[in-house]
Amino acid sequence: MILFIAILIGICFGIFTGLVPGVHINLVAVGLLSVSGFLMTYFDPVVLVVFIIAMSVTHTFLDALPAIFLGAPDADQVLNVLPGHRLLLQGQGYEAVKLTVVGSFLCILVTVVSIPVLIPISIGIYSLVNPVMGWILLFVSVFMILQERGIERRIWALAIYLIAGILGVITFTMPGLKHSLVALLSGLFGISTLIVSLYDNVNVPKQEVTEKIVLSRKELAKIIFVGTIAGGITGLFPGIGAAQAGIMGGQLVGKIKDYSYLVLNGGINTVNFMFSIVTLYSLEKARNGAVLVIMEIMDTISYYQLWLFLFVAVLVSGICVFLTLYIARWFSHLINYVNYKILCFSIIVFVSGFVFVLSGWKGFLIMTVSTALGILPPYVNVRRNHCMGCLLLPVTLFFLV
Amino acid sequence: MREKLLYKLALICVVVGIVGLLFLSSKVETDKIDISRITLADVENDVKIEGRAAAVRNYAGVSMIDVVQEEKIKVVMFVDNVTLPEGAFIEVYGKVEEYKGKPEIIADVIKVKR
Repeated sequence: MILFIAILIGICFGIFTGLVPGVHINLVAVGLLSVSGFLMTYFDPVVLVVFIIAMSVTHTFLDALPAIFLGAPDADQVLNVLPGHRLLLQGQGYEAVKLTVVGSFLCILVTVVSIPVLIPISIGIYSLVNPVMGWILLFVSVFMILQERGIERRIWALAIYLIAGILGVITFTMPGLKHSLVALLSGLFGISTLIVSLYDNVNVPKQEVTEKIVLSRKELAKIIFVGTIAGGITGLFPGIGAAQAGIMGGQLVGKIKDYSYLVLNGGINTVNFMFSIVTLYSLEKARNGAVLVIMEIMDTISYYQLWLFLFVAVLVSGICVFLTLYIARWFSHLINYVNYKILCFSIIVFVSGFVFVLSGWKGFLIMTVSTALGILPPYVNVRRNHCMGCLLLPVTLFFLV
Repeated sequence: MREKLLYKLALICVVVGIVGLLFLSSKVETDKIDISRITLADVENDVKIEGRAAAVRNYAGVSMIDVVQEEKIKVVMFVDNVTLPEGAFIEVYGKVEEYKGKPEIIADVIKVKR
């Protein structure tokens, strides 16, 4: 019974972190870690981990909503903003969310079913690539930059990647700065996107709740397969997030429509988290903040515990299908009546205040600088995901230097 | 994918998830083990033990407790002061470490059972 209560509370926290731009699951997970000693006098560590998994899976479903309806993504949803926003401006915001839900949900099912195969594969691949991890991360960075067309755009992409990387190194080594990642990512991907939206004079048309978009089964199967593989890669390589995997996945499936792209990125985002649990079990490595906290609480997980966590993910993903689409309908209705500019401005104020309370003036300064950098990509016509250099460059340097 | 089909699949997942959880939930709690079964082969493993707190010694930044069943094991907790009732029956959750060729437990959590 206590497990179901933990799942319910985890879902509630996941709704909060998923819907509020700038609030990440890592923040709640770290908060939980700080009181875990006290909580473990009442609950088994497994209960705390179940809470984190329920929250994280819920977050990966719901973070599509602010990305599509408000144009305010977290780092994992960067690639969904443009296609999602395009559909929003055609009155199909609900359909856009539904596509990410389809991707997340089906990719979770494929991942869980493939676990017996994925475990030995992940161990095999990891032992092969671990000695050259730094070079692979460098290759991914170069690959992302070369995806830009034309020499001028590539130079801009390189400059943004390097500046973000230097900013990342400064942020992570700054003494006395708490929750540095929240400040950094809120600026790079959250507030900067909202500021651009404010100046773009976006007029959101009346939203329809329809079933207009239908993908063929063949295309859906191809995208789910690629999404699972690309999401799995993010679980193996540190520093590579859903955005980088999305670009690589996009290359694997070739030219695809906005619809398919949303399914792909929804899937990668969720598989990214699922696979990091498998990586924790098979390699005893943490690939994201929430799993790092799980590792701190439990050190290692047994085979039974792994399956328990996967069943938690399956249960929560089933619930999240209903939950996300219900909230998306509500958003579609509400956005017709809300002043979009006031809404964006309110979120900017909220996130800025949140960062200031959490990280103090140093965090606020980091957020201001990273916001300025995050505004740059759309103005020089390059992808915003180059800002992920803030994580990729420090991790690459860690392996190479 | 039609929304009805999506909802049907989601409902199936909810049911499968609940059944899986009910089946596995009894198997996953960290098992309590006898002190006599803890050896150096368990070093770095998480364990849960129960026993009487025979002696509590507090030093600066660290407390040591002898936990007794039929055999005895030393439990170390990195806190300033542990106060336990005389002969309290306690549950300890922590990691096995080696000290001077013997296993001891670095405690994360100590619960007083009675």
